[in-house]
Amino acid sequence: MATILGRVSFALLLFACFASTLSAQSIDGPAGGKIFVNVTQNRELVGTPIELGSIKAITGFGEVAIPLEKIDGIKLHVDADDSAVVAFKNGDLVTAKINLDQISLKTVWGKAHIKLDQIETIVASSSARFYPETTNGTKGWRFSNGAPVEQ
Amino acid sequence: MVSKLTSVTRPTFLLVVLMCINCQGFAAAQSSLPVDAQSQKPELVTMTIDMDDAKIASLLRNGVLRTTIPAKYRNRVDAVLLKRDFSFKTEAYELGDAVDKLNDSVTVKLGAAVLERLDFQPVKVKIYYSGFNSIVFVRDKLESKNPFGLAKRDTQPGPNDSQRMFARLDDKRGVFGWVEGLAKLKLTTEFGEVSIDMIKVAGIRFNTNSSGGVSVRLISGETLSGYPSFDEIQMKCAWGKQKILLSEIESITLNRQSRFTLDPYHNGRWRFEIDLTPGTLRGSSPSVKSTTN
Repeated sequence: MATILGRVSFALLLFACFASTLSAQSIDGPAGGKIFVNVTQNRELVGTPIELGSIKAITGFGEVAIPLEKIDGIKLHVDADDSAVVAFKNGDLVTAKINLDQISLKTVWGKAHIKLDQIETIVASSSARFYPETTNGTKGWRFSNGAPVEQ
Repeated sequence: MVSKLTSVTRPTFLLVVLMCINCQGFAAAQSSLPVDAQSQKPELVTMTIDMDDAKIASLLRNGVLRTTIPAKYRNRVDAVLLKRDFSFKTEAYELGDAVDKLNDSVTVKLGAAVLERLDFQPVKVKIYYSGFNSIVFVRDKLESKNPFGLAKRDTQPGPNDSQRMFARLDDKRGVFGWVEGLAKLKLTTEFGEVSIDMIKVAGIRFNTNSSGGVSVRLISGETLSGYPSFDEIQMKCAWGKQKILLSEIESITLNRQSRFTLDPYHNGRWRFEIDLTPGTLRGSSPSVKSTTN
């Protein structure tokens, strides 16, 4: 009897562990991929976003929810209105006001909660970067995902 | 001046005679005379004239442009087809009440609107006279304000139409006009449906993939990809309404000079080169933030 009870307890314990793992996966970023968050004073945090499937933003063409998996990078605070430039994996570049207070990351050392006003850029790869460009006398931003250039 | 003579009465005898003519006369003809076999009457021909920029400039500057008809084609020319090599439409517009005869010449009056229309489509002028050996094109300074008799609603923008844009079909052909009912552009994007005010749009590249995707470039420098909910547009141009299938359009842009080109460094992405020459942008602010790739 004690053996049966022991086996049942062990099975329940295993199920509980498995269920919590499932739950943890479901609230992580969609791809479960790492993102690179550059915060003020040149500090960088690397981790997996928690409870962030999409980012709500107000664009020139309305309010949208952008799936995190479609985003290659976000450059925050680009103008006096505190707008951000969102670079998409398909090459699109959209200016938007991000409707988010903070980002939570699961890092190798634990969880980090970073306020958006402390963040300069969020990118999907370590080699990706935003860089300023002036075209026809007007300043703007371009994005490079760091992919090798095809010549 | 390069011209063609084509028979028009009997397709079986259709013959294209390529000739080199200038304002003083024809050079050597390269074909024998086509003749109606049953009636022995010479076949009537249409004279085609390529109206390039130089000829149009000459007509505007001098007020006249003379073409001499060689002897063997005399009394056989029953129409003149004026065309430019980049006309948007291939179908010709027939111009009436423009021809008169004076001694051994016929005169054809061409106003500014008719000359402008040549960018859109060829213009055909029927000649019902005989016994002339030259055609003189005369600049018509008294052309009426609405020479084509078009309704204003078909040629002027309404509140639901886009700003004036250039619809490009290919390297040469395109037309200026207002896209009817496209004050806002609805697109299905990766993050859902969006509605973009066309006044913010600098250009749209159609058919960016085999599924009919589009790439939209905003004046602010932003770019957005997606799929439109329509498969044709109707342009209101100076010569009435014109339906164009999206599958036939390369792009619509604020001016003729702006173009989308494939980014050589990023496979499948589009670059937009906007021309900010003063006066080339219409109906929008000429501010551009960036070039994206």
